[in-house]
Amino acid sequence: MNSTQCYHCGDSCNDGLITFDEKSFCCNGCKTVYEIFSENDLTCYYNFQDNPGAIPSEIKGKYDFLDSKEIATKLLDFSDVNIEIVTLYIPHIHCSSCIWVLENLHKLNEYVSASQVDFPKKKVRVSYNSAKTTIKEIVLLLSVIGYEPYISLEDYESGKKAVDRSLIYKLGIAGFAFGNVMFLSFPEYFEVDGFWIEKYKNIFRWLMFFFSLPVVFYAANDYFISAYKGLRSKILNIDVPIALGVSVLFLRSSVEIIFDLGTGFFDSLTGLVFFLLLGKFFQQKTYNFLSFERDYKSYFPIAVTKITKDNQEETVQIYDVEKGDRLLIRNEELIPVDGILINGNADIDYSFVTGEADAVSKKSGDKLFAGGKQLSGSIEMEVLASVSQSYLTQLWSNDVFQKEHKSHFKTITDSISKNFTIAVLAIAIIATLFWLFKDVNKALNVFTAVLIIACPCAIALAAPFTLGNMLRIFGKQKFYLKNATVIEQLAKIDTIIFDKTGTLTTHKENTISYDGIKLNILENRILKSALRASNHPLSRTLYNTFSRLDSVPISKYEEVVGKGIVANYNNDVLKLGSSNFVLNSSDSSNLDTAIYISFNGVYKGKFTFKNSYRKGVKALFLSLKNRFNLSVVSGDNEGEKNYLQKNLPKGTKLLFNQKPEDKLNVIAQLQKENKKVAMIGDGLNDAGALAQSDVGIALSENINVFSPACDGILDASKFSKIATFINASKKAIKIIKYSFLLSLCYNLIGLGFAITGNLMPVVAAILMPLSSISIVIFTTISTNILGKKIK
Amino acid sequence: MSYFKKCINIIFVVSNIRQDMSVIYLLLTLSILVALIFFIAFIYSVKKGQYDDSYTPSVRMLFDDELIIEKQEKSTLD
Repeated sequence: MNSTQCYHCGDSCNDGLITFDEKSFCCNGCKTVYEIFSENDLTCYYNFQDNPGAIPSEIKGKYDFLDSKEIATKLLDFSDVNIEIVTLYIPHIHCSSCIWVLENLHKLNEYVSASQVDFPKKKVRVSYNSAKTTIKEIVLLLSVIGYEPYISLEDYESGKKAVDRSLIYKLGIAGFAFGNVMFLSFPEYFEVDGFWIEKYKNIFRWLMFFFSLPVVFYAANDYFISAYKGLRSKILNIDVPIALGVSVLFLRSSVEIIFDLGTGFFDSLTGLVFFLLLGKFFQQKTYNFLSFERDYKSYFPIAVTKITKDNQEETVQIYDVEKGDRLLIRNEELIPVDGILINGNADIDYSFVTGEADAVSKKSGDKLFAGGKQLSGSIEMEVLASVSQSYLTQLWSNDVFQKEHKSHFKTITDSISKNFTIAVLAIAIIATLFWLFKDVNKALNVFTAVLIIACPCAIALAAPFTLGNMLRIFGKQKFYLKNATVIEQLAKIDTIIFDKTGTLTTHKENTISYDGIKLNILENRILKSALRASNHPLSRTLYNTFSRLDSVPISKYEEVVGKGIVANYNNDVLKLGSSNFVLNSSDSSNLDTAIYISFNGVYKGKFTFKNSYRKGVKALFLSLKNRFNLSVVSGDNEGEKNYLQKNLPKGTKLLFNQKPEDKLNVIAQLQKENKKVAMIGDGLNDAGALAQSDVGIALSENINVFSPACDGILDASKFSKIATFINASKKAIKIIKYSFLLSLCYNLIGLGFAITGNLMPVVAAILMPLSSISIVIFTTISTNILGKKIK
Repeated sequence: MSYFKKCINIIFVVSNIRQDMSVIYLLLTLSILVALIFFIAFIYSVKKGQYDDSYTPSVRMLFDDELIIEKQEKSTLD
């Protein structure tokens, strides 16, 4: 199709091109935004990036809840007599044009004093004069120009989160001390017996001592705390030998300078802590724009419209909704609680919950479940249960969401540190005993030297640098992990459970099958023309399959919202829509979504929509079947059982009609059998299973859209690469093991010096950075080679 | 400039008081002082949140050049 692109949003202007100011727009919304910008001299917006905008969506009444002072103040960062500051999350932020226009908000609303964009977090922070404008006006302004903020229940609840910057402070302090101590210890490296050094060495040494104080007592305190915690729960984690090494380094160095025995090891001490913190920092790759901790609260609105007894509309906070209330749900709004439909045409999209994309039609009197999104007009409903008591939200009262059950995972570093610590202590004691008999003066010297040189700096760095780099490589492949431990857990997986709808299937593509009496060309043309006028998602999908046909002018067209369409052409009357509408009876034999067709009152047939399976599902299962136990766990009925049995390898367990809690229990049961389970799901109904599993991966068609709490988020386009990612994790663990071997070699060389009682500070100061840097180089190069293979 | 000269003077006065005090002390003090200034600047910048978002400023700084007209407007508005 060679169509004109919309100047504002970049969509093709197929239906209804609007030309304004010699530029073409796809819809009135886009044109309006352009007008606003051009009136205010903001057309620079279009210079930074082509077609940067988004079509503004309908927002009538959506933000009325911001009129409520109580709700509004909860969203504010800061408020004073005349000034208020609010931070809003805007998912559409994606390019430099966005930054520019959002930071020029003061031109659109003169009472905005400043606005600042945080691009990685997709947030904008707006300060405005609260006497002259309100948060609602700001939000409406943003929505009008296509930057609709996303305000959810989560924003209402969470207070201001303090940013933890302690690691940067610690790194800065350690680096500062390391540089200065290095510089202060140079004279003694080279002029060992000069007169000059004799005169000034004390001042150099004491300066080094003072520089190392904040390093030992502040920058390294995490290691002491972690070692203490480990010892208390009788685990020899890697922080035990590190804490031991740091304290021995500090004590021996202090003793040396106090009694003028030597220069001490302050250089190695500060260097060690600096390198360790650097590793920690590197491992801490965070994806600011993603959240791995989401629950239903980030999906749910803050407030809904309640219809009071005297038929007035009133905005109420969601937690204040009680059983028996009547709620008004507008178009595109989320149903926050379970209830019964009173009136209106309900077309509910449960894709948030189940991953099923096609909307479900409901009649008045039907039960509506929380989490669905209303698609066709407003409806009224009566509340059956409060927010926390609803079917879906009850899932979050499960224990899985309460405790940090994954914190007990034993990392690969911890698993070797036990043996390592014991070996080091044994060598230290044996060497000391030996020297006690040979030369008592040297015994203590040797004991401390062994502990210093064996301090497992390189071992402690191997995992952070390998896994940190893998995190980045996976991130580039659109596989975003919560933290580095997930890679280790992924490498240990032996069972993989897939959700069906939305995970194995995609709602981007539908397979449409027709059964019934074959339609002739004219009938097809009429059908196409009728569909063309409709905006219902099913109509749009079906319309696209008739692309090669010509359309005919339709004389009479009527769309009955939530039911179907009646269209006339000459003497033919076409009726299409739900079975109730077309046949006056509901078709119970059909479990799938379908459009029924009749011409002149004669039923012709139906188009059935099935979510099609993702490409590569079969290949993926085949490549996984030898090494993993595979299952498919679905909340749907057994409609697809035969198809799955035919197409998936034998031995794949298939479970249907699983409620969210059932999915969780399936995984818990497998874990009791000592299986390491990975869950791959997408909707909120998988949230329990994702939390319970060892590795929960949420599949997402659009990374910016929300996904439930999980350990990793995988872009749906990379679905077929799951096997590659698991293999790569296993190889990453291998790389860590090789680096352990390498660093053990350095330790052995160092121990050679230490046991013989020849450990000079300069040797330690060379060996420590050398081993650390070579480990960093080795892991970086080998993970990058591994990363190239993934592509 | 005069402030700088004053500093130099003070340093000379201080070093003249104790003739035996070698220039090494002066150099050490100065070097640590300079290092401390940078260190404090670093801590200050972290505290102010300058490291929280390392991407947006890099884009923002490119805007000004192309928007000289807008800039003037802004100053009259505020």
